[in-house]
Amino acid sequence: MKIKDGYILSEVAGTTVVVPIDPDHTFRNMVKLNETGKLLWEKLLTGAQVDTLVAAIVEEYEIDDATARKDVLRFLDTLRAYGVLSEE
Amino acid sequence: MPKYRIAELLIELSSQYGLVERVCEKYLVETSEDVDFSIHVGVDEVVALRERFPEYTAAYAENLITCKKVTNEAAKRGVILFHSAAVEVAGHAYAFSAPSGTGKSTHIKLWRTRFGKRINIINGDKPFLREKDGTFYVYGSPWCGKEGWNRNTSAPLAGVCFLTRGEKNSIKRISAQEALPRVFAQLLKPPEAEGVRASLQFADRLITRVPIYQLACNISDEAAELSFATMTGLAPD
Repeated sequence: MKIKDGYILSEVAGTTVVVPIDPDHTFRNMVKLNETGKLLWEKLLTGAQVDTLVAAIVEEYEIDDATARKDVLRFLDTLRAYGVLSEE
Repeated sequence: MPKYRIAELLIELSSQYGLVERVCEKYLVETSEDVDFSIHVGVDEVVALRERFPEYTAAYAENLITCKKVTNEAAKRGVILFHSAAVEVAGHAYAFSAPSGTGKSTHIKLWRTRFGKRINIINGDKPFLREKDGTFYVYGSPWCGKEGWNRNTSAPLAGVCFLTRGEKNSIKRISAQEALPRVFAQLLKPPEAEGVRASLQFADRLITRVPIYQLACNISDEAAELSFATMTGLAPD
């Protein structure tokens, strides 16, 4: 899975935000990412599978695999809902 | 080709249907200075837009495309169009923003009725913003919404207010974080990465420099008095 082209990640107002480049996109105007979200987003920019993402979270936050997997899957669902995820 | 000074940019606009010249006439200047940029709208572009929107006249289409092109070029030079209705009171500008149809124009009219000549409308729909030495300035522009409100003037921005309709009137200041997505949504951004990034930075600086308010209001003198007193700090009379 990969993040589709056409989004910019930026640090503003003390938060990490993602905005679409194309104003006519159906995606919401702006999405805020927390630390975990930012980490996953950056991994997904170059493409990653669920297991890689889970391993990254487990390593970074020292939490168990099951919790990490839940978080990752939920995040991926959110990205799908926004239409930013490409499944290749 | 006629030259226009808009938001301190010198712009050359060529047009053929008459509407662009008419809406821009307050901004016309005679000068031999070099222009910041030149805009030309091709017949093919007008045709293409009218294919999508057959109700547009050629003049209307050319004006719309001109506005879009000027906005994109201006944005590259740090001059950003802010979708809002802006007024000037005692040397300071206040901008009201809301989705179309919510009541920005109505609220501005309430200020005019209630406070009379103290209120000068800078632009009813599409003023330009520019940052100079840490202060944000609001500028009139030729493109101003259906009421035709625009003045070739500028003033430092002292407050931004997001309007929603409400039964009772209330106003509060909102944090930079709350303001960010709302301000960003109303900045007209060029559809490419650098422009979007620059607009984000612009929004970031604006929300830290200028107080941002949220107003729930009905259509009444009381609503106007509340926003006026809160944002300007001036006495009503």
